[in-house]
Amino acid sequence: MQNFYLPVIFFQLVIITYLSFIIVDVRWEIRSGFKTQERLTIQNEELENLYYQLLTEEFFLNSPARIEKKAKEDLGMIKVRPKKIK
Amino acid sequence: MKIYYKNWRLFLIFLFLFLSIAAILSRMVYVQVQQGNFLLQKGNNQNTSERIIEFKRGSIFDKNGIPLAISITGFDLFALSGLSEDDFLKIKNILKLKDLEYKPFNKKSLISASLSFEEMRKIRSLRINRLELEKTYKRHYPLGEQVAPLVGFSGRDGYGLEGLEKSYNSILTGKPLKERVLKDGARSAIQRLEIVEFGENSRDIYLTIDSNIQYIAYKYLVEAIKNNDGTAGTVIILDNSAKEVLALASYPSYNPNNPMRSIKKNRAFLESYEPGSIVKPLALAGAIENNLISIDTEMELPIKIEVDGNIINDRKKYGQLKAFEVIKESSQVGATQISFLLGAEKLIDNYKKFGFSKPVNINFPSTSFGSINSRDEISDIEIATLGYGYGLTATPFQISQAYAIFANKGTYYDFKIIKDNEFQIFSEQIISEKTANDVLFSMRQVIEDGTGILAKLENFDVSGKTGTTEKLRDGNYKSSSYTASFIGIGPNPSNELTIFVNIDGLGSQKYSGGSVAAPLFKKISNDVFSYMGYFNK
Repeated sequence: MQNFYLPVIFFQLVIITYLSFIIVDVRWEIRSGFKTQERLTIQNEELENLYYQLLTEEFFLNSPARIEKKAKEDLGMIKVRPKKIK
Repeated sequence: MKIYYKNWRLFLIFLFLFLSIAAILSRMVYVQVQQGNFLLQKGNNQNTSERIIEFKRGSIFDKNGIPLAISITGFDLFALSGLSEDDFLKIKNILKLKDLEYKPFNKKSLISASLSFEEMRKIRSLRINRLELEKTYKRHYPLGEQVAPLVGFSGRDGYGLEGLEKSYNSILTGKPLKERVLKDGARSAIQRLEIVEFGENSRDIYLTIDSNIQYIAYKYLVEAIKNNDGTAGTVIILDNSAKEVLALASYPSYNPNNPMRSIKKNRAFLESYEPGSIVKPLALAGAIENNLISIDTEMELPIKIEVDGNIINDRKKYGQLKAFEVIKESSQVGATQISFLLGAEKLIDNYKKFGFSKPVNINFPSTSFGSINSRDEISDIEIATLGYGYGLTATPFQISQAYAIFANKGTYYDFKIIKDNEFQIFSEQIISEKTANDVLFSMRQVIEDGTGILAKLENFDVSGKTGTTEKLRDGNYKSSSYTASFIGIGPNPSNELTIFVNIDGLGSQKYSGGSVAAPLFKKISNDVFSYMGYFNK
């Protein structure tokens, strides 16, 4: 009977040890995942800042106010009324 | 004896070991049972903490996705007590803070505000313990004063203080999330333990405003006010088919990006004024709808009439005019006769149907909705003046919505300013399609050969009406201060846009709706129709 219990106990000890390592590993992964998430959140906000800056710049470059200014001051253009479409 | 001696010493050792183990065990039991929760809490307090995650304030965009209000993330750098001079100098070098000198920090003090992400990373890489970086959001308004009275602004705490920023604050802010986190030795979070309070993400909002049309409206409005020595003004452009507001310019304005801004009201929603002759087509619509008159009805008009001892006169003797010509010439005597035909009750009821003295269905802080003189014993002169726009007040937005009824075949619609599919547009048939077309015909004559001839466009057919109001000050009408208004619907035949303009605070030199507001309407409508790709004629 003793011969039967010893391998079972040994096997259980091995399993417990293995699971302990797994727990440590999972905890480490959770924490590194959390840190990655934190890092990506900041990176996302940084990219969002950049996106808004580019969007605003695009609007500024395309804005009718700027085009009008360029046309009048730099190119010396004048406003012509559209002719009648017949 | 020797054995006894040996056993005695062994006994003492065992006894000592036994007592020691018993003492340790009892201490363990005491710590676990009696002080367990207290110590657990102490430990948790050292390793865990609650943190509040505020969501970045949502942005406001125009209908084409152009940003009108955006939040830029930055970082404020604080020194905690005990920050050494060496560490301070390192920070000073990185941030190039020339004017800041070291002094011992006894409490949390701001070193530098609105750091960029790059600066934040450089500071973090120094691994200085006595520093704290706090995330902040700075609000930017790329269109500045063009849309400031509409969009408003939010404070440094991220709370909307004016305009749409205020009325849609809860959507733009969301609800902060509260969570418990595990911290490492450097006090930075390493794991989320639980969510203490669920948050709600902030949302962006999209307006129905078109930035390009808004620019056209604002540019010409400011130009006209300055050229005519006015003090203020409003332009409203409505898309009659989509039931949306395309532009809403109000002057004077302010720069929302400047922390020292002085707030100016949105005149489109807040400035209720006596509209003057601009209401005459509304009275005519009421008379036609009640079968009291048709647009071809001949009316005998003396140059002046006396009502309750007051003289109401026209600028010339018209003799006989058809009803539509009363609108074309903007005859005061004719409008008085139409008022008397309708009578006080029907006239007031008619104005109310057009939305006057009723709140507008726009979520905007403190909108005004005007009033109508509706006393029980209303005198004849009061009825007469109601016919040509005195004795009642309305905001530019109410007038614009009222005129959109003619473009929408007699149906009143609540116009929206936010792109929201869930928004239920209220609609109600106010007048018949025939009456609406008759009034539009009358208004077209105003442009062709009437008081609004300066609003006539070379390439587009439009309908319109002028309005000139003497301003009421201290109970008297001052003939030295006027408001000039013009409202037009076009381009015919689609009639997709309603454009309202007014200029306030005009002097006695040039002040009429026909000479000041009509040319402004012409400039705006010409550019807007071309921008929107309309080709007529």
